[in-house]
Amino acid sequence: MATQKKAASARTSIAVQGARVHNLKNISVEIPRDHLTVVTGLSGSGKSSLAFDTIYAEGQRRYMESLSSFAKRFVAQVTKPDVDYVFGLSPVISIEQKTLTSNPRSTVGTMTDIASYLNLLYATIGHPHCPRTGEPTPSRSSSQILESILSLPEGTEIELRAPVFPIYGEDLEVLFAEVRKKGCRRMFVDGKPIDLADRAESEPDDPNGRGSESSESAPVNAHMEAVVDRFIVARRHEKAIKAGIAATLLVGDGLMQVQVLKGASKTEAQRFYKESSSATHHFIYGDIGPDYFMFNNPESACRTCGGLGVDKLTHPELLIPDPQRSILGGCFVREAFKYNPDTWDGRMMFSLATALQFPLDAPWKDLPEPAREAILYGIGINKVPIVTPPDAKVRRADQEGREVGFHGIARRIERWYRHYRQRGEANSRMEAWLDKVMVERTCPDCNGARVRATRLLFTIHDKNIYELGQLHFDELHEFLGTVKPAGRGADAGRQVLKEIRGRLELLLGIGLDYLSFNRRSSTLSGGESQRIRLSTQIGSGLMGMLYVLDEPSIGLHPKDNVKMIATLERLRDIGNTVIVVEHDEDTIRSADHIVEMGPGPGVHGGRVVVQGTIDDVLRCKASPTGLYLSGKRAIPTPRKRRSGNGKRLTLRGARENNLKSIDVTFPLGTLVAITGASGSGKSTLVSEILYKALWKHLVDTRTLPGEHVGLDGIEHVRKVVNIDQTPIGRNSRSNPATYIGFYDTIRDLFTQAPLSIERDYKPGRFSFNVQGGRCEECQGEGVITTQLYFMPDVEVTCAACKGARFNSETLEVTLRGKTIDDVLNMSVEEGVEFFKSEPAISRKIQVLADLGLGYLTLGQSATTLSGGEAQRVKIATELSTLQRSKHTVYILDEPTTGLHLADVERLLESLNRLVDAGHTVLLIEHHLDVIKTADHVIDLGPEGGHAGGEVVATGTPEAIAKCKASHTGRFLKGHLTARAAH
Amino acid sequence: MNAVQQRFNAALETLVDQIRKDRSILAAILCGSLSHDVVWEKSDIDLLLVTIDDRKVEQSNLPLYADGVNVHAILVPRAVFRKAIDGSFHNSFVHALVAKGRLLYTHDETIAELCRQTTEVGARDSEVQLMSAAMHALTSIYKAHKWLITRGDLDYTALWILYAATPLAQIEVISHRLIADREVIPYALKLNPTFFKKIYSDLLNGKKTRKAVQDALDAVDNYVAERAPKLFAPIIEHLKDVGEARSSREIENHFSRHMNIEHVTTACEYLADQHLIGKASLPVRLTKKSTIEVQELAFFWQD
Repeated sequence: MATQKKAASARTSIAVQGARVHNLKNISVEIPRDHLTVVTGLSGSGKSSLAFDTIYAEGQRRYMESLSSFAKRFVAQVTKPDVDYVFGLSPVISIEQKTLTSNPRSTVGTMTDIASYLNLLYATIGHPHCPRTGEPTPSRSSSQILESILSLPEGTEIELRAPVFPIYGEDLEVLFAEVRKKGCRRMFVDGKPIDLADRAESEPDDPNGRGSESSESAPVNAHMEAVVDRFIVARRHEKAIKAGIAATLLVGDGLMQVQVLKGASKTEAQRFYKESSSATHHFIYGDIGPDYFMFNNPESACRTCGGLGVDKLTHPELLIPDPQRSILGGCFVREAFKYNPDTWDGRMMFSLATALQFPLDAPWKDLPEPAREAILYGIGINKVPIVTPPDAKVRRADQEGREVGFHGIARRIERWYRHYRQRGEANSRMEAWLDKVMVERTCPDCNGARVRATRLLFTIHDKNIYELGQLHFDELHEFLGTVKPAGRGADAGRQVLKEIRGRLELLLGIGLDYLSFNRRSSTLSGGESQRIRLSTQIGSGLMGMLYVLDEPSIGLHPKDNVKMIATLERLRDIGNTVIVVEHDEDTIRSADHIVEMGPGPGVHGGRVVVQGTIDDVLRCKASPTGLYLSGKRAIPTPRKRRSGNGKRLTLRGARENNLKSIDVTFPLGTLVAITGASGSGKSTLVSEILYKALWKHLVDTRTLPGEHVGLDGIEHVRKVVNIDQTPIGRNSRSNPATYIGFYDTIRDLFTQAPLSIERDYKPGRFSFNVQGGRCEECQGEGVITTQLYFMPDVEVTCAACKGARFNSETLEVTLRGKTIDDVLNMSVEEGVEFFKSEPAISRKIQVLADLGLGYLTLGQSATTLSGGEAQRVKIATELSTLQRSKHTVYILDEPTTGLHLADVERLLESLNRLVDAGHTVLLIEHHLDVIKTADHVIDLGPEGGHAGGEVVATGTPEAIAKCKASHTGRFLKGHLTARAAH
Repeated sequence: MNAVQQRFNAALETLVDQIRKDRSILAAILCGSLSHDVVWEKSDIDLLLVTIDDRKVEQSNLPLYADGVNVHAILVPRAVFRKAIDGSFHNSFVHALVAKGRLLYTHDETIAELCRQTTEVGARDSEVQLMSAAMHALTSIYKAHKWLITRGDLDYTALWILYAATPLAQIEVISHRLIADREVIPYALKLNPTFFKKIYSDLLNGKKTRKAVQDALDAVDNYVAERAPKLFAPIIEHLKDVGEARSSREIENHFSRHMNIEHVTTACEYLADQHLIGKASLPVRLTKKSTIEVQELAFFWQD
């Protein structure tokens, strides 16, 4: 009874009172708890301000408040949002669509935490094998090994040995020095004892080695063991033997041998080996825990790539971007080689040219192949006599005629790269110049497995941990279903298996069946990252939480969107409140409650237009969403498809990632949509191959496009532009006016004001980036940030300029009564009016207004723009500098992200302006309203991952709709029919 | 045996009899003067005690007092002791301490074997130690030349030669496959009296005339020059192996990783002066943000 009473009085809604964050107009709104609520509205209407910057921020802030001052020092503090109060908050988790990390160590496995479970699985039920013969090898704990040693007759003399393996790319001397540092003096190499204190002979470096300096020199198959300790078996030496086992496992990287020397009979020794170790080499694995398989653990990571799975190699095309140039003319990138007759390098090159008889002033492409090979990769064991160039200012008589070797420019760079890696500096900025001339390749040591070879000797059903991580989730799920743990660790193994399969099912449930655990996080799209985080949250099984999500439908094919909606409903059904900022029609229709913000963007928005059920929204005449959903307003399907200018780009044999060596034709002068299931290869085709191939041809020859045979029709294209949703600037000093470029003209106008002429002010006076005209107190920021250790940073308006960013002298200059600060604070709409007499400026501002960005201010900080807004500012830049004569290919990856249907309509208008001006627009898109307006559709698939990568259908949207094999066609058909019915 | 020595031995015996009963002490090794030299009133006894391997038994130093004699006890767990002995380069301090010491007792036969092995001097370890000692000597020799040439300061030049005497004595002792500890000059005097008398005893005791100092310096130069191909063999071999010019940093890195030896550039400079290797330069950027290149010192092997 009491419980019922309590339940009845509990809050059933989240009540926001007096929210004024950003453009919110002091609004109050009530969102039902334990329901799925969609917040929608035009771009810039205040959706994110309500969901993220008010509800999420306040929930987060209150949680932070509960932490101790000490703990607060370690977390970024959240500023209190400008809201009177928010009632009914729960612990809140936000799941945004940002790609979580660019850290190369982060993989899908680590993101989902399933990598840790896989490590645990291998540690519990993995079957270890001998590194030499591959035969089964036992795995024991240290205590078990100790007990088996103590089972030998007392007085038996034993030796603990640790196997050691050659280090890739290093000679044996390095290995021996390392073993010595670990405290071992004696070793066995192929059964032959050696004393490391004596001269340990090793093969010399191979100066001609192309792979690495000495990788071939180390005897890869040599059987080597370090003698770690020697004991006489007795209970009284138990502790010493135990310490010896620990030390041996440390040297042997988890592996060891117990060698019976004397004191036990042959039978006793044989019985001991049989019971405790592998048959041939008597190996035992000891104390294997999950960390043993973790590539982010330095002790387990591949020694060559440090657990990254990739290594770097110089690429001739990057070293010599312009083969038309000669060595004297600077054919090499400056960082790699610059000819100077007065340096050793210059003398060496001249000597090489003399010896091999090639001219230094001939274009690189005309040099004989052996000469090019020698310059890049050296002359092997040969030597050349030093000849001083005739134009050298300094003559070194002592060097003249002396014979020296040369390993090549490419090899030298690779050697330095390895040097940085060895010193742990490979991730620092020092690598920046190496990046210019090197490309990634799969690590030749671990072949991409990221871990040391000994880790791959553990298998489950003949698959090692790397092979398991390569399986797509659907295959992995099936594979793990066949695993029946038995014997050692079976109980624990079953638990771990259950956990992994449960989490896999969640990932499969949201359409990520084509991903694998080994995939790098940085290669995931924002949508994929968000869905992975979502699955992690569902996996937590928590209830009573408040989840705030940002457009989870992004990047999802309509066929996968159904799964996503089901996932959101599941999150709700287990007892959580889910708030989703979304424009997707299906998600809106599935919501229990809808809040529409608006009515317009920016200053015209910030109010609740309508809230309630879908029917309430459909009935509301003031709701743009309602108008579109009810079919009263729709994005029109073009009556006629453009056929283009008759020219085309044909990409032949595209086979990067999962693409199946496909040929794709892009008609120029049209709006082309590239569609297909998530992971079907759209981005690879367009961004990785086509865009980079065009960029390489038109801009930078050092660009390396994805694998393909050829690109025909490239001569028809004069320019390529990738318009993405990345910010237009990284700091608050960038804004639309500076990005589009009309701020310079505005500054020029200010310099022509009478007061400016009188004071001789130059354009720099009206810049907040340089000293002179800006406020020096805040250095042109307008605000001063004070860092408080365990409280949020406090931003206060600069007392000197009162937020104007310029000093008082500068602000005395006015243009038609407005100061430079007034101009920067003008909205785009006001700007069009104010500058109408200056067409050079007004034309550019007008483009912004046409794209629906009239609410932005001219000086609005780039950091406050959403991805969609940034993308439209970029389109505005292109439109304002449109050149009909220069055929341009514009590439846009999911430009509808963050856009309401009304915004999509405007976006399409502007994209069509680009096409109507004779250019080509390529869109990677799932939005059916966009696809239906395209002139030409290229549908990839049929599925994601390995089941994708083929061209399913091409043609007009109507032609795609008729293709039964195309998922896009199926949904497009329904969409075209539904819209026609409306 | 003098009275002091007898008193020290008696005190040690009493102490060791007590320690032997402690089952957490596996072995006692007498090090320092009492084990291989002569003690005096102010000496103490250096006693290395090998303990059992236990989390609660830590490595430590403990000043003990036994029958009026100070005893410096060094407690080392067995695993650490084993690692220090096998892992240290021969003729290093730890190695020399044990190698010149005397095992008093052990409850673990394997410790006796470890102690025995310390007397076996390895060729590679000798090579490393020779190069290390030679590099130390070079620094002082350069200084001696500088003060003689630039200032004609005979006293200060002599002092730098005397500084060089210890590493030169190490070279002499190690070359004879003997163990070089801290007090190495008296041993070197016995092994090569002519040379060490000239650069050490005579220089220390005689009048520092221009001729005497110059003669000593010449003797030092000749001593190192005659032995240079052997003393710096690893550098010559390395440059011979790689064939092409290598920058100073690369050479340093190589020896740091292969032999745990730092600052080999000084030795490279010396070898270049002796025309045993050639000197070159390779491009380098001064900082991570530098955009211009300067030239870094480099060396190469020449036929």
